[in-house]
Amino acid sequence: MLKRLGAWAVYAYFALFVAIIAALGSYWNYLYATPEQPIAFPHKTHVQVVNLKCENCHMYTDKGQQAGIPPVQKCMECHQAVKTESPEIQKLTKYWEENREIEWAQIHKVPGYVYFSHKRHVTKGIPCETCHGQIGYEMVVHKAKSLSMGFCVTCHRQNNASVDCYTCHK
Amino acid sequence: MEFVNNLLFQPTETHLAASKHLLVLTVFVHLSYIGYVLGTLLFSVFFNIVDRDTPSHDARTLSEYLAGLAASNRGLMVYLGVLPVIAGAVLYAQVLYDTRQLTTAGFAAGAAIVPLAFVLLSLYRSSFRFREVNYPLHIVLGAAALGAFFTAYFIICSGVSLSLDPEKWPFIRNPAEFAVFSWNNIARFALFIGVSLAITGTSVLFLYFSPEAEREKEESYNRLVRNFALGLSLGSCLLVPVLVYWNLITIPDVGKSIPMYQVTGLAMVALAAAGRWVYGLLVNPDARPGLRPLGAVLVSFLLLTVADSMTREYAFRDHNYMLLAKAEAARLAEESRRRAAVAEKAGQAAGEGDPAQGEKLAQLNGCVSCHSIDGSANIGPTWKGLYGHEVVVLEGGQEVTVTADDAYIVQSIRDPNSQVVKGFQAIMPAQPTMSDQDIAHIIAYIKTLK
Repeated sequence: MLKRLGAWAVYAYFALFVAIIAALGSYWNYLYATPEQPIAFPHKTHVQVVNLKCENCHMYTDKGQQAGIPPVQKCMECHQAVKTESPEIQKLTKYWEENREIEWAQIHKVPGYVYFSHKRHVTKGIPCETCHGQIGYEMVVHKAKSLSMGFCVTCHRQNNASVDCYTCHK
Repeated sequence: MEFVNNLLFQPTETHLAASKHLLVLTVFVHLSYIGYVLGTLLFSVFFNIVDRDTPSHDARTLSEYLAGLAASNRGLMVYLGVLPVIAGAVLYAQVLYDTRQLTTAGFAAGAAIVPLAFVLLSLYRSSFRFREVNYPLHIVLGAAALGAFFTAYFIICSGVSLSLDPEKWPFIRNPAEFAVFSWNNIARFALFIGVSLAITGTSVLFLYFSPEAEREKEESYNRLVRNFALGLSLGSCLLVPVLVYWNLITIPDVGKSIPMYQVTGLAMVALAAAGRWVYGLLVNPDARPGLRPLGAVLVSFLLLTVADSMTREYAFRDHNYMLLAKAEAARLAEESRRRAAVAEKAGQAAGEGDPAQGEKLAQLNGCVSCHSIDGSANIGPTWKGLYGHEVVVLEGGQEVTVTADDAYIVQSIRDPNSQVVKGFQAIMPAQPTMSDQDIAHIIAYIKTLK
């Protein structure tokens, strides 16, 4: 009887750890996993095959705080004619016809108390890849860098930028 | 360390996949063996000291038996102990191609220390002969071998851990700094020790109690071996999940993925089987230990190695995209060079285009998705009747009339937005991958569209 109980205790012990790992996994999945996008937009095709530059579509990288998600109209400049047979482009066309914006899932997020300006960084010649990773080679965008405070401060130190609190926390 | 790259393949998808699988195999086989050596040596030294403190024949015999297991075969030492470290260094260098090679440096440092550790281990084993004459020398040999193994694998584990965290790379300049950069290298090393103990315990169970093995006649000694091995196996099987958890919460976020969690969970299931079997042996003193507990521990360790490989794959993803893109560009350049060479051999001077080739290229590069060939309006101006005719273009805001000759088309492909045909938007991307010969083919094709 006692022996049987001991065996169950061993199972329970390992089951507890399997549960803990499952919990860690779903917690990570909930908070950090790459979300699904409304349209499977491949950066790789646009950058590697069509040879577009980031700023061709993200028009405000050197002009404002936000880089700018391109409006549907920008996509349609080419996709009215290009690859119209693709189901993903047909989804895009539907957004265009219904006059709706696409609700892209945000991958690179900094908390609200962080002030970040694309213009500041781009005009200083910091390449997009420093924060966004090799985004031009990706079929699906994922968060390549932690974008944590340590990440920002390291780069600021290396480039002799200010590390004063007020620089980012206004 | 840049010279290392010259000794390696320019990676392609196949190379990277092969390196990844070979790494899993190498690391699994090698670390299983090293875990077994490390554990048996550790407890050999332990029982050696116990015997010195409170002399007991059983402890001394067990100490010598464990040292014998650790240094059992010189061939194993070379093929499973030393060569895989060198293989690991090369494979990591291949996977980390074109970046800082500190992980490789860690393996290289390991490859220097590990042979020394095996020599010390062999000396320790043979010094049992003069143990009673010169005990300090004997025990120092054992302790030195142990220290060398611990140092080598701490450096190697830290190097592996470092490879998963590219954001930390700027801070670490030599292997001596490995030990302080994050909790993950400590957690990873602790997990390796935990798995080593599990492998050691279950190996002793299997080896000492297998039907073919020669056993001591004394019942008290057999009981000691059995209790030691069972206690070690069960204790380490229960410890490993805690260390796995510690490792999971310290690996960098960029390396995490759902499959990694799933495989780690499976490893725990395999370990549960090992734990259950060891527990069964503990409560049934008559049961004969077989290969099952060792097998389950090894399966569990293999799954942990695979999970680790997945972590690495995700952490390196960004780096791999770049490598593969470079390799692809190199392949395309080579192909275009070959095409040019073939064309030259066929006596076709560069500049003379072939309309059929041009049509193919126009399809392949997506030209025709914007430029119609039947005169209809599209995103770009039509190609029908273009060649030789006059075109009104905007150049720097000024309207200019030019003739669409070879030079005009070449410029329109190389630098499309310098002159934009009136009524169209400046959205055409430049085509740097097209060779002069490619453009000549396209011009020849446009000429045929009258």
